Amino acid sequence: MTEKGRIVKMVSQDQEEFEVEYGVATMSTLIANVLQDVSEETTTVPIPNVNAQVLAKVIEYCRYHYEAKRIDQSEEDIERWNKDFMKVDNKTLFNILIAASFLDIADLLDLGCKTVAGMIKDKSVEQIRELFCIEGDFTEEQEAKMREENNWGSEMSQENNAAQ
Amino acid sequence: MEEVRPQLSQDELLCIFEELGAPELQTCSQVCSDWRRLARNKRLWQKILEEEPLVVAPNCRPAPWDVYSLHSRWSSGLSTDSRIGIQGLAPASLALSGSFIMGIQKASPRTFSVGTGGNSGVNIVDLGEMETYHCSVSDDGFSVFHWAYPSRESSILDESIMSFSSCGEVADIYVDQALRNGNTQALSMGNDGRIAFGLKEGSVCIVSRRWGNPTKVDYSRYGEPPICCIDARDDSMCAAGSELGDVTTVAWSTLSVNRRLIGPCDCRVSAVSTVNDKIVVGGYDHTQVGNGHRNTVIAWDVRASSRIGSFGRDVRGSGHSLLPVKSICGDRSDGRRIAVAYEDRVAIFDTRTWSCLREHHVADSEQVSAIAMNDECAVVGVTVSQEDHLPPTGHLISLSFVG
Repeated sequence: MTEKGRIVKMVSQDQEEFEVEYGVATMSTLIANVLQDVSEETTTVPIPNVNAQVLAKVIEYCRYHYEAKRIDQSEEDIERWNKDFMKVDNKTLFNILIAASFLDIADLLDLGCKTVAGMIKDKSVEQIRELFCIEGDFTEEQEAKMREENNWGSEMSQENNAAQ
Repeated sequence: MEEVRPQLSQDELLCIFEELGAPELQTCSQVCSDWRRLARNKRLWQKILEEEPLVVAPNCRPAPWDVYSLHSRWSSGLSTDSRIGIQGLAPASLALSGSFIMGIQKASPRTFSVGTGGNSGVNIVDLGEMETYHCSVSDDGFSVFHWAYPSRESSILDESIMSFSSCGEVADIYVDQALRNGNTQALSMGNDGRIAFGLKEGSVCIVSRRWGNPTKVDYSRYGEPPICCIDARDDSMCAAGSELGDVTTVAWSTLSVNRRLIGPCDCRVSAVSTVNDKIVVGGYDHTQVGNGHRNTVIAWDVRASSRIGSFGRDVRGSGHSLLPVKSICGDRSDGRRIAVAYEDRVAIFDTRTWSCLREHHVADSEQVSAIAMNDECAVVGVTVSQEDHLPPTGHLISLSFVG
């Protein structure tokens, strides 16, 4: 059995089936490892913690990059595609990142992390909490101390600006 | 019902944090206690510190305000006790003039200079793979230091004396056969630009930078023992201490040489300093020999050729210091005070009464690694050992004795 014609059936959390070419599916190190000792023509791999919407996105990513590599797509084109691919709502973005981490797709994880990191930049503590739905759990004392830490930093940068 | 926002695992968060710079990480560390712990991950900060040496990591002392104090308190002079920290700064050598502090950090070699007067900027010059040994700085911020590339011994530039102007630019490079091949053991520059080198072969070499290019003024072979410390004084002489207990002075005007065994034995003079144009003090290191002698400081009158006395062994009332004298530094002006550095403390003495004016102990995890003094204060370079694989960090403390 050549790998070329092999199909991998990925089953999402909500039981939706996705038929994916072997080369595309094995961009996930996790799936590549699962398939290592299996030789059937069609193998079903359950992905229990990724829902259909997110799995579809992940497969879209893998499929594009698999093709891009095959036809030697230019760096700029890939970058542009990646950028567009990441234009999703925050919830989907986070889910893609988690799925990439679970499926062990290094490039996608990297892309997701860079995108989220870009969102953190220029945000205040409060805005980050909102973005990640996190409640601050510091005591008032700790908060005050941290504010002080921050003030030093901002005063210093002001001074630097003045010096320039 | 699914959660509104999926929860990222620690690994995923760390991946994201890896993409952030110092200010963003600082912000992230204030989001919640889980994030705080993650955002202070040593691996993250190590990466940032490699890229941005001036950044201060929150989990390493010094704290950010240490750098800040450089801008506020230090700019108004050094007349109050203060502290500055530059991340990764573990001073191996330190020099202080009226308006400049300059130092060398050995772990990842670089020089730093800090203005202390109106010009209170920090200059950091990365030395790459260079090995640096000694540095000195003059009142105009001109600094000089000895460096070597350890791996390229055959190249002509493998070891030389380099000087920087006050703005951190290379002023000149001086190469001299006599100073190479590991021969340079110590250097000191007077404010008039005379640089005295203490050599392994026991000689003193004097080079002047007064007229532009460095010029060799004197180089006389005196023979063994090797010189291990040296101090050049502006108007009168330089003094060099040897491995075998004697101190050599060279008068600037006549270039006459005076060599004397100043202590009670032939142990290593680990530090030397000129107090004024006639008094030299030398500090001892008996720890290697273990002969029961005390690690004292001895004052010697060069002109009268007599010992004035020994001091510094009864500072804490505990009898004597077990630790060797690491460095001694005169105030470089009226000669009224000297500062003596041991590994665990610094003591400042009045040179008229030889009494201790003040003493400063560093914490257990800290070590005094360098000292410098002007007429307002002593600046102490402190190296702080770090846990794990982090390089030692450090800070500078200024100890004032004015007002």
